[in-house]
Amino acid sequence: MSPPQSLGLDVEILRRLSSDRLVRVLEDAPGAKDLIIDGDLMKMLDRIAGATLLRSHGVDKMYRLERVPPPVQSSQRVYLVRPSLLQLKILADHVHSDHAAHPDLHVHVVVVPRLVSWVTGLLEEEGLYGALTLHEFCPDFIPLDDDLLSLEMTSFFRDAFLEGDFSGCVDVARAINTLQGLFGQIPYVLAHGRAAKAVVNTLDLLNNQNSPKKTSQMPEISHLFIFDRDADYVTPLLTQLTYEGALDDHFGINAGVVEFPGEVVGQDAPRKVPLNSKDTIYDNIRNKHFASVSSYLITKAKEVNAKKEQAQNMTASQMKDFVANELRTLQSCHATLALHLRACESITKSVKQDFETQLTTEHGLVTGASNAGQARKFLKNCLARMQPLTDNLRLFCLYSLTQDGLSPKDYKQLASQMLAAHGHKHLITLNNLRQLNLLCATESSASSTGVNRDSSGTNIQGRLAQVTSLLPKKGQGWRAAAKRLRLIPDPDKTIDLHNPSDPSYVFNGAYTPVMAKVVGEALSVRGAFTQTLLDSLKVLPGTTISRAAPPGSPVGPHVALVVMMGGVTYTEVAALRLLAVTSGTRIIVASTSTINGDQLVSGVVHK
Amino acid sequence: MALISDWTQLGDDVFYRKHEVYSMDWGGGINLADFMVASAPYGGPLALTRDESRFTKTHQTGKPLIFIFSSSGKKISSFKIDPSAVYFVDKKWTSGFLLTLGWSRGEDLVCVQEDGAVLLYDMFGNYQHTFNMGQEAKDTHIQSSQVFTSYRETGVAVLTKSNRIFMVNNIHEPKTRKYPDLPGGTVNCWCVVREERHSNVLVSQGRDLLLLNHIDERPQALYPQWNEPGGSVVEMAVSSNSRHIALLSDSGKLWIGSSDIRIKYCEYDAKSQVKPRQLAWCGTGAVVLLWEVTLEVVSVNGEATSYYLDSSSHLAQEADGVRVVGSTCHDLLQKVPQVVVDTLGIGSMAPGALLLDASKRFQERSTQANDCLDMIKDSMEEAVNQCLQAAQHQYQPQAQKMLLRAALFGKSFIPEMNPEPCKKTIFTLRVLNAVRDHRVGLPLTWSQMEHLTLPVLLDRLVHRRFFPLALEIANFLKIPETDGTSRILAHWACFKVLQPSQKSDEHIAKEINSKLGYTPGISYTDIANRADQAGRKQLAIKLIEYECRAKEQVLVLMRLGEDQTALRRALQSGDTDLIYTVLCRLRQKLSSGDFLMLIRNFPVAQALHMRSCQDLDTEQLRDILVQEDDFLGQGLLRVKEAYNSSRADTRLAALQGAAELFRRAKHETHLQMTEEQIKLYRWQIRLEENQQKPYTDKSLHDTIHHLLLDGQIKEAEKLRTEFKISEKRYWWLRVVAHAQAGHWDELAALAKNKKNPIGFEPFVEVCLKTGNKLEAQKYASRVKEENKVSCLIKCGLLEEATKIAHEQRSASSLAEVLAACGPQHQALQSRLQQLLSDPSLKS
Repeated sequence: MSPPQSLGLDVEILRRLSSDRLVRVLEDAPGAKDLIIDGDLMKMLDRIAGATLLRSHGVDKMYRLERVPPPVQSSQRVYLVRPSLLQLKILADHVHSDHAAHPDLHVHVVVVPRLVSWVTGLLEEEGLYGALTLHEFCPDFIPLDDDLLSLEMTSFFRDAFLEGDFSGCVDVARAINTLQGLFGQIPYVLAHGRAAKAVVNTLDLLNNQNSPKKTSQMPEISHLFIFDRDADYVTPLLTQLTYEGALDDHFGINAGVVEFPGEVVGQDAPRKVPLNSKDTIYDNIRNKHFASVSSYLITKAKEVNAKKEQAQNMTASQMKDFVANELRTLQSCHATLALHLRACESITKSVKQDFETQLTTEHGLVTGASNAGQARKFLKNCLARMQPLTDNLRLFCLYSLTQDGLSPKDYKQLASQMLAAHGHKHLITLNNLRQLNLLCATESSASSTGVNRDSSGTNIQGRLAQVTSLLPKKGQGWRAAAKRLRLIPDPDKTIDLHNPSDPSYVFNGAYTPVMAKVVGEALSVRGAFTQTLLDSLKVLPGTTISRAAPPGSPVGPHVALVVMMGGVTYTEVAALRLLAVTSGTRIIVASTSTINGDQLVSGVVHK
Repeated sequence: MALISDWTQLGDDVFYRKHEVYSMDWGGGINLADFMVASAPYGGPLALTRDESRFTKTHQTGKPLIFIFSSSGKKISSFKIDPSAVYFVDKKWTSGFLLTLGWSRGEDLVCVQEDGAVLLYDMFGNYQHTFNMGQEAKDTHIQSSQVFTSYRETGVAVLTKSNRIFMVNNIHEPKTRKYPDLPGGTVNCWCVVREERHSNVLVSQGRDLLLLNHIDERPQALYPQWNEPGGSVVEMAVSSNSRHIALLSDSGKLWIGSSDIRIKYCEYDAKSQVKPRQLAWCGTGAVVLLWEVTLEVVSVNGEATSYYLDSSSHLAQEADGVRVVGSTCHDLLQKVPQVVVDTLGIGSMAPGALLLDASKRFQERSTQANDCLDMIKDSMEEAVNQCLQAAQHQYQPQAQKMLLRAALFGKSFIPEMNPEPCKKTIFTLRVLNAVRDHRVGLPLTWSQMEHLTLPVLLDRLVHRRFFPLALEIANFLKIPETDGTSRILAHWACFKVLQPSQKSDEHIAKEINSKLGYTPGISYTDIANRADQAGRKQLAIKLIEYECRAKEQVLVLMRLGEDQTALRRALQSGDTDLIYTVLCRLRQKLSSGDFLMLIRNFPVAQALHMRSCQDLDTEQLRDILVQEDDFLGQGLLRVKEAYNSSRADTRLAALQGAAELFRRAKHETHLQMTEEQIKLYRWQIRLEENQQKPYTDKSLHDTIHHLLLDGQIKEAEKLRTEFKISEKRYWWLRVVAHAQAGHWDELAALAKNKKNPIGFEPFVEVCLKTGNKLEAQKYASRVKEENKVSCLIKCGLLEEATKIAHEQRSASSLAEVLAACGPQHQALQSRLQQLLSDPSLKS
């Protein structure tokens, strides 16, 4: 299942670039120092630089940034923070309190990814101007795997799509620019959505500033796709069915690392396990449909056992050979197999009793096979049974999306039950979801709200909606889009879940993620994007930018970079991996972060 | 031969040559004797002003007229020193009498006035800046002054009428230094002698020669070795490198020696009692004395020769010679470089000379060429180098060509020779010839050029506004764009914006852009700033349009007061930080109302502003929402505030406010839900009062749940009816709560209720969740048929499960039971297997 690896393009170089840059920042504070890190950056830092590297550049102790300042032990202290108000306030408190006791403590603040003017302003207001030295550290894409890059900007989705702050796009553009610097200007570009457009615009600005020499470089990446998360909300809302997706849903994968609880690893303490293609067994099962994973694991386990049994009948010299070469790999294989088997077991055990119903409902909603009444009933059941908030919200949103908006009566009833179950403060949450168009109530009382919407020139909410995501026009709801893009496969065609050939296998053949569909269509034609494809994109919110290489210029090998603004799910990654195999293209997926439905929804929940 | 006809021998194998570099463009009408002249080194411009001391003062003119010419006599500018510009600062208007003119290293004209004011002008007469030599100099007035080249910079030294010396070592950082006091008495002459980083002053007073430096407290007397002591020094000159000095006594004796007076090179009797007009060094090898029309050259070994000039002239001392500027022509007098003597000298047998000869013969197609070549076949490389170097020091292109041809001819015999020196010589000579053209008027010699370096030469051309020539040179020599073309163009643009023009600002901006394009290294910001400084704001705005670095562009626009445009540009850039910067500034600048009105035209900016307000300034956010009549937004804001407050009355008030706003927004769902919340909240407050338990932050379900946990079934019932909770939900709540609290009786009672809307699966589930298998078993048999088997299995009732599965005749159920069997169920296992083997089972 692994995509063709023969095409070069070493993304690992990105990690080195980032770590070099980090080292440079650290060396700006020469000598011994303590490092205090924003919790949000911990995972990212792990991926960029190991503890030994940090140690070798003078880092003594590392702490997570918390309200209580850690004890002062060395004469220098480096804070690594995101520019967020709360963290900066805490930092300022630290500096004030430490300053009283240790007046000669030197404080460096490294802002990730950029030192923005309001941070300087805030620190000035706190009276810290001059008391600390400011730096910035702008990481590039972090390779979570050789085909998955992430910027680990977990708040991007909320910032951009809910709050209308697209500043993260600049960082994405910079990161893509670095890639282009390494691998040449990408000739074919297809971007759709507001954030995507902002990225392309910034990229153009950056290109203008670059020296024109680069254009002569032979491109090593032929296609660049940039999509906004709001082009496909359905995919993250659905329950993930690939093994990797299931792991993410159940245990949570952060920056490519999963933390298995004790029962899975067979120890008392939870253990962090990195998940990537270096682990060949994992590489084989990660994109498999969950249903076929355990049988595969069992077969594998039997093979391993058989090999071990063979060893029983070996001659001495054969045995020596076996111990020297194979035993170690067999043992580690064995350990990995056991781990994943236990993980499978744990997932199967913990899935909801009515998992089947849940899936049927979800897929019924998407394909339109089951009627809305059943889904509503199921949702009400879930609410009555006090399922977790995020689960209920996911289903609620999916219900609303697939019905192209709910009738006011429906909406009022469900919303009221939702608030009764989880508290009325989630009125804000519901409002946020409505702003994102994840929820939509077709207000029938046209005389009241309808008027407001029409004269949206004066209505901020309406305008915010314009800003954050362009409202789809009438008759262009999700269902129309799904039909136009042919996201719902023919129900009569059976999908082989074990040896899939169509990306829709990730949802039991009920739905194809938009990204996989569009990228697949685009890659099926060599050269420029077809007008049909561009036309069909019009059903998605936002506008399209497409660029094609001038005829005759070098195009390079078939390598595509797919960038998702606002988070990519492992399901989409799996679908694209399959696409990579079937289309003979190497596909590299890049995103602001990896995301799953719970993260998507809880990102906008009012705290 | 013409090449050496202007040579004059001064001692063994030492020649001096004097040749005309320009005939002066200013025509013959100028009698230099009437003028005070200052010439800049490296072929720089000449400044002339009428020498007032030569005329009887009829009236105080106050504003002397200064003319500036290029070395070829082309007028660059003329202007009056306008002291009002200077003295405005002092609020006093005094007219200074111009005492000395000089040039700085950067080719700015330095004018020293009698009252100690020093004014700087560029060569186009644009006032640069001013400083003065201190209060004392101002009070006592200056009798004479000198502009000199100090360590790395240009300095000014003055001698006041009270015999005090003050010095500024760097005109760009004017710090006045006082030198030790001189004894009373007239000073005959004085000059500044640079020594390493310090500048000393040598003064001739009476019969004494005194050295002053700023460290010692008193002057130090020096005693040069005169053949006939007793004279006093009336004139002195220091060589350009400050190592040598020439002193002229009142009896006409010229003493030449090291600048510390310790070593005497020679003494020469000029045989003239008349004090020469000027005394100067020609390079380092000879001293030149200039009387009215006589020029006497005295070499350091005492040999001398004279030239007669056709008009009164001025000497301009250079590092490798001296330029003689007359009213009709401009000559260069210099020592003939040794390599030229070797190559061109009569009867020279140096390899270079022979190669030159061979080359000439070769061109004449004479076989003698071969003989010459034979003689130098072992030293061909040296010969080539000599010819090259000789060519470098030739002024006439003809001579240069001849020598270069010879060099290339010789080089063709050494294929492995490095071509770089040849290339460099040819290229540089072309550049030199171009700038020597009388239209440009930069008579640079090769060694001056070497010393000046090419970038500085380009700067000087740019400074003189020879932009096209500078561009040509930069392109010709393939200088990197950032050092060459784009820098020159940027200067041109800066110059262009300062020029008054009939054309519209738009047109000028376009013109500049069409020339400059987007060459790397060009900063439109700089150009726009220049335009702004010149008071052409509109032009600056037009120019900054072309800046492609958004940040620079926005900052300049803000400085120009173009706030809207700045905001628009910032928005286009998509750089949030930049947008915030503009917003922040606008907020400071405008009144709150104006600010809000402005940003409502820019939705993205408004969104960003509102976002920052959410964290920092909710009142401002409310203002915006009120301004926009956005009741929905205000309502939501109120709701958020409600949950931020823990005080019951505040929260209730906020919620009621929100409800009112939702009503005005005609948002029914929000209104209804807020009203529900208010109702619930009132209930919760009542409950809290009655039971002394926290309820207010709980949802409706949680409230009921907790009531049930406490056994308050009646209260729960009341809430249920009040909030119209559906049967199903209420049952679920009860089942869960009873099990959690261990109220098994209540649960059993509930189970007896016939109207069970949720079936018995939840009962089993909750019992198992609390770990009570026994209770679970009670309900397991009552669940729906299809779930029975799995429920029984979960309760551990495998026997019953088997029984049911068998009754259902379902193979899958049986298999399910089998899978659940552990090692302790051996018997059951075998029975199941037996049952499973029954072929009549439903699959």
